[in-house]
Amino acid sequence: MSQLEFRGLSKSFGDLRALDDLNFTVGASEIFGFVGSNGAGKSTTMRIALGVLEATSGQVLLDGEELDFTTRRRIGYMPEERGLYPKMKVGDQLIYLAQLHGLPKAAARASMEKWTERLGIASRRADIVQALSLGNQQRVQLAAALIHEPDILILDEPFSGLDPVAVDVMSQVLIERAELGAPVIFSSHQLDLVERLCTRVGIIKSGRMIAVGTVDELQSRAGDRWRIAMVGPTDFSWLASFPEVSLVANTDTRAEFLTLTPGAEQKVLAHAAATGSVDSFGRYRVPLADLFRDAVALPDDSQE
Amino acid sequence: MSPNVPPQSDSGTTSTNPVDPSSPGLTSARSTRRGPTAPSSTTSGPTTPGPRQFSPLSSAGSIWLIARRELSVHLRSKSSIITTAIMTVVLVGGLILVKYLGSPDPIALGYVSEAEAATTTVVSMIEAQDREVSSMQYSDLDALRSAVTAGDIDAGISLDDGLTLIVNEEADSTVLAAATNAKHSLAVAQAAAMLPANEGAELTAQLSSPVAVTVLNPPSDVDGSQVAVGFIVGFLLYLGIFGGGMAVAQGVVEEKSSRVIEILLASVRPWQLLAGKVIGIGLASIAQVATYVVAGVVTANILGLTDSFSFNILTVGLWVLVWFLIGYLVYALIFAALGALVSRQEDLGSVLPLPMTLVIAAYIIGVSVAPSDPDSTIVTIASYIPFTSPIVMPIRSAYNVASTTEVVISLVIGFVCIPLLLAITTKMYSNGVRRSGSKLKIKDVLKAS
Repeated sequence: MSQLEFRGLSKSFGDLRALDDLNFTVGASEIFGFVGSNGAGKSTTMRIALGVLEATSGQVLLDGEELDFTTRRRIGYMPEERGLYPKMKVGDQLIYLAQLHGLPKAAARASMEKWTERLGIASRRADIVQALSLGNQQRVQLAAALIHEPDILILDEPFSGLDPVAVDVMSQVLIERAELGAPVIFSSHQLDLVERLCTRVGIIKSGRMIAVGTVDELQSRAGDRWRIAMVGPTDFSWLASFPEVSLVANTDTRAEFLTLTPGAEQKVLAHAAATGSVDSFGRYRVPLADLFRDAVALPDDSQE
Repeated sequence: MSPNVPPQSDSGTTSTNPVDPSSPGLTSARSTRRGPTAPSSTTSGPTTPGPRQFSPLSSAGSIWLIARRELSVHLRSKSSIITTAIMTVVLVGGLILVKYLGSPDPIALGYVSEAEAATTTVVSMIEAQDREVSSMQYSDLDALRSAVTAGDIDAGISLDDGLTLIVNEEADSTVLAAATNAKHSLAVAQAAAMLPANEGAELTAQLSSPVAVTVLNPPSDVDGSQVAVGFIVGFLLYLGIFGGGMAVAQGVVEEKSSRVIEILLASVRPWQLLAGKVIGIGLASIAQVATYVVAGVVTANILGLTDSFSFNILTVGLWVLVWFLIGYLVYALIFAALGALVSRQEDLGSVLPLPMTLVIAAYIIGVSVAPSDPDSTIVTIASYIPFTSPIVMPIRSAYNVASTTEVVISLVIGFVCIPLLLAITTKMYSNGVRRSGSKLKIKDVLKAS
């Protein structure tokens, strides 16, 4: 079982510090969601892993060994900017890419047939790539990443531009590869997808990993959040001044708050029940999108 | 493993779920089996990545695979098939033109019986001008006239008024000159017959001997067929080298602009990609040039043009291939290195002018300076510089003005130059292809590790 480790990765483009001491690990069977604003360094990290770029310092290790040309061949890679020969036929192109990875001709053909079938582009094998819709080109791109049965997947925004059916197919493939033991890293701006698919999530900002963990862990960092809804319009100003909690947000029927001491929420509930009719009460799971927004909104030096 | 990883079972049971079980929407992702590919997932289920069943390719294997792709792309490309077809037609057509422009139609003469001796003189004079000529006797003047009118013969000869030429519209200048000379010789012979034998012979000899010409500055011995073949050789080499170089540059940029380079570099090294591309396009270009050479040599032989050639056309053809190989390698490497600097086809125009100027200069020296003055300093120098020698030297060879030693020296310079270029190009290409975006500077790609 493989484990991919990014250790102290830094990369400068002239004066621009694109990556700044980036550290994270993706274990076997993990699906790691890599999120961050545009230009945060996601693609740079992936391209360094693939050897397309060279790190200014730091290493990418596979099972403790620095990735080299031979071990990189085990990676299935989908670059951010899609790359295929525009005028080459889908089938020929996939066979060619498989052969470059060392598959014999017959195995390359079998793999091409399997993945085009699987990804729903079997009928387009004889078409040139540029004749396909962008979504279908994307599927070919994924097929190109999977054609040599890689042990590791590094996919840069694999879901962008896909229709919901294709998103499902792509999700299944990622889950399947992870189940087979592959570490899977993908970047995405579709945070609901990341939340749904990923074992762990890393949030990168200005070249630094500002938060890594399971979605639950990231949510627990946001504190113990609760939501209370009342029947009929209510004035929640009492909650703002309530001890041991901090009001996060409210409407005239609903309020979200953070407990500062364990059990404080029960006191809130008791108070609310005494003053009005409680419609619902429970733990509030912060969507990853909100966690992400909060995380990247913090000033740069907050992680020191 | 990091402590953050939730417990995982490696037993492979379906209950092992890498997805956070508490995540909302999980079931929709896992239970989707309505996608277009769902039915096939049972027949082509996932295979265990496990131990790899294939070994990485050797360098030679990778290079050959890349070269084969390039070869098939270029052999199958419509534009190169059309170019080759058009050029072959132009070449064969050109040789046919040379044949029929260079050797005009044979002249057919007719005569009445009493003009037979005069006609024999005319025929021998026309033959002395390297023209083919035939003659035929007609029964009388009327038959002769109608044969001329009908176009069966170009001119009729009668003895009216000493010697008369009967033509339809106007007299062919060669025939007219020959007939005039023949009439004069007849008159001289008649006059000589009236003189004593020795004086008559002397008069005849004086009047029939040609004017002596003393040449003070003889031109180089380049005949028309050599100029023609030199021109064709120069043009084909120019076309092949330029076309091959451009194809390499465009191929390099295509991989950068389409970003396929990032995927390729995950499985092959830059130098392997470079080598495969240069070899593949080179083989396609050689096939193209060889088509021209074979078409040219075969056509020239069929037309009988080779009989009058002062050189062996097959040797010229083989030299064209050898020089093409050197010229192609030199320029393909330069074009590849410069192509790697840019990421868009439109930007090629900003990096290629220098090598393009060199190829065009070589071509111009070869086909416009060399024919008039093949021994001039500029032609000689150009036939040694590896950037111009592949076009200029074979033209000098076609003119028979380059000695074997000169050719060998020039070849050696070319062969020595190639590994040097290869080293520089590999460096520039390896550094250049990974960096897409704006145009790169030569010093940057040479400097980077």
